Amino acid sequence: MIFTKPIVGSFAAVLFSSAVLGVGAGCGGGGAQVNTDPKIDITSLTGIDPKDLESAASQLADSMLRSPEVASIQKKPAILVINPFIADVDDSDFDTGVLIKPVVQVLMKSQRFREDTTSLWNDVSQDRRALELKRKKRYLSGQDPTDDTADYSLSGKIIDSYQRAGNVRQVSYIFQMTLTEISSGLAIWDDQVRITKQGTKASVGF
Amino acid sequence: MRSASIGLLVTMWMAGAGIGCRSMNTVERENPIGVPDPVADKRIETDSGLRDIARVVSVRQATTPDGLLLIQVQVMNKRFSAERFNYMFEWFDQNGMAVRTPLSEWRAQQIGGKEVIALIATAPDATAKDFRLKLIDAK
Repeated sequence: MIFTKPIVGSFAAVLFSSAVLGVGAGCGGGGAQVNTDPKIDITSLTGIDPKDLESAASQLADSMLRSPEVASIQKKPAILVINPFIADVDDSDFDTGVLIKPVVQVLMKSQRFREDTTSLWNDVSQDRRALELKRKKRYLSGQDPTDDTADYSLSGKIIDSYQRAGNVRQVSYIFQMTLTEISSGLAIWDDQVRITKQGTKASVGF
Repeated sequence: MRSASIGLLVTMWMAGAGIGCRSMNTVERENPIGVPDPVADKRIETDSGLRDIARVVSVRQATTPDGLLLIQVQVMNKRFSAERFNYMFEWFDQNGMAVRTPLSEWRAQQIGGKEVIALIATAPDATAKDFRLKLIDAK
């Protein structure tokens, strides 16, 4: 068969169109569940990303575990209560629990601490049922039902800071955390972590 | 004329290299006082560029007073320019089983030109006896 120019041109057009349709079908751009991966996680410049909190929590917990003062606490496990954290950030959707929970999980797993989930936080307990039963048991055994037996408290503050130089934007989040011995009121561990993000726009990967 | 052009290009390249790259000078004790406990390591390097940015210099271990394993990995940036990478420590118990912990999270790290830095991690509990350090180039 001898191909003439018009037939070759039509054939090429059909091939090209088929290729475009095939690529379009394969690259649907649909949503997919992804694991935390530094190559594909989105880095935003206008708010705290979940990975910022996870990274900060990991570093703070690591610092606390490594602290000689925390390691030398005689009572194991010590009872830990959580103070409300101060979130001085622009991000109104930010929940300090996303930062605090991993830290507490690490402390519990280290066998050095047990969190008292019945302690009151803004007059609300994490576990109200457990608090009711605990108070009832203490009352029935002749103890003061409102007596708090915590040994240490965890408190902290999150601060944000925004800077700009031309098209380049920079946002910094400073995570401060303190562990206080309740009986003395003295801090036995204190540290802070800064997460800084910089760029002209949000991007994938960090 | 041609040699002058080449000379000009070389000069411009050197000037650019000088402006864009600032490496680090360091001073430390000639005979360090600390007595390190080195760890023999096995390395699997699939990214040659990353190997230049974060070349593992040494791996050391210690323990906290109550028995948690501490690992310190010193890495060096062999380039003259500041670079970024991400790293994560994973932990394993004495049976080689992974220990799940929030401590195993990716952390971003910046390293200066020709700088040596220490990546330090604490084991999550006393059952964690082994570790794996993962390094990945930043975007």
